[in-house]
Amino acid sequence: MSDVTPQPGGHPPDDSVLSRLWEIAHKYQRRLATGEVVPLRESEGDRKTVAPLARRLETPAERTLDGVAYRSLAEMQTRRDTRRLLSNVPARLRLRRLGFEVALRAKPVVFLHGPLKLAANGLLASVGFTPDAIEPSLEADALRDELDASERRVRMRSVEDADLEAMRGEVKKRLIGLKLKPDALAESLTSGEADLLSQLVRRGEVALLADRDGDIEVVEGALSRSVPSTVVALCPSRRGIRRV
Amino acid sequence: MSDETPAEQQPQAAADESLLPQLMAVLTARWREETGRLCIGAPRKRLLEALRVGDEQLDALLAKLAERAEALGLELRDYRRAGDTWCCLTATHGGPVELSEGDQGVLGLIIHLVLKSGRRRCATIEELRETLVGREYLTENQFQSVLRRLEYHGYVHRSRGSIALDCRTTLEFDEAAQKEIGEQARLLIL
Repeated sequence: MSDVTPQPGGHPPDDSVLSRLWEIAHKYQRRLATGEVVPLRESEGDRKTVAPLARRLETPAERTLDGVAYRSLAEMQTRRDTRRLLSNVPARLRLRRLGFEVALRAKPVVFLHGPLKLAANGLLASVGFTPDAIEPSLEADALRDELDASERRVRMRSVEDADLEAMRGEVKKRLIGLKLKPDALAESLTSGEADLLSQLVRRGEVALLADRDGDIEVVEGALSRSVPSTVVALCPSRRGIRRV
Repeated sequence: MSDETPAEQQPQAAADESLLPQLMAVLTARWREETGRLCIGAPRKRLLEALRVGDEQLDALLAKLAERAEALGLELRDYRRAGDTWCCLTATHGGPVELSEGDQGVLGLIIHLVLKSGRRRCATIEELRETLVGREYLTENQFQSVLRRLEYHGYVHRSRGSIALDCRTTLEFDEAAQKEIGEQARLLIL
């Protein structure tokens, strides 16, 4: 009973604060749910009613209800302003605006199949790209024909032991008695003849003798162990023409 | 035994790796059932049959795919349809949609009306027509063609004068997004 008793100073009791706040908050919540708009004059009157109650809030319930009432008033204000502003916007534009709001919140399903919306040739079209056909080269054709012809013309054959012996004899006959600088010896030999000379030295049929001037003398027969054959590294540079 | 186990697991891991691209292709596919409704991804039952694996193996494969897809901004989602669980991939942070802004606006309004209907989870086409055609947002022809497009792309499903949200809408717009869209629709259209 003490709660409903008028307090000193003429203020209504606390439950009066609660009931006033409840009444206003409930009214605006209901209007917001049904989509109605409270006129500005009426809304301003409600705000003036709620404002002085803020100084007399004591319980958590009153504070919570005060917050709800203010939020409802603010939401109604937003709705009223939006409604007024949208009244000048064409209907089609409002629908597109809603479409924009929908697109903002979409997390689309991903498809890798089906018709594509994006043109894949946009970049290539912008730089004027046109593929060039590769033309056949006359020089390449001529070279290929020449190689084919030479392959038919040149016949490969195997070398027999008798031929090798004959070739070794020719090399031995030509080189024995010569005394040359290593470079001159290299220039006088083809790679095949240098190989045959190595074989002759290994067999002991030919020996290489180096003097103080650096000259190499090709002599017949093996040298004694006390005077070994000189080892010479040659890079044969003569290009030989071999008979077929 | 401990030395042999990794060697035995290697062929299995390689087989799983080779399955991932195929799973990716299957889950990003779309096709139509006999009634013309758009199907997104693949049903779990058919995945089990095609891969000839058990539930646990399929879960492991899907988990591996989900892990890879996450780095690309994709999310593996599953949804219920016709008594089976279906799997598909959606974008995590949005992306281009197939509808025009006008179509999306109508979809937003349908979402709002369906939410407003509560447990019925569907809106009447007459109510939609009253709003869009009656208030001259669209002509009747435009209204019909927009509904056809929305149904063709799998966003809504029409039956007996009512319209309901199809799987694609519930996949692309979660509950929070649907509520926000409903608010926007109420502000902008209603």
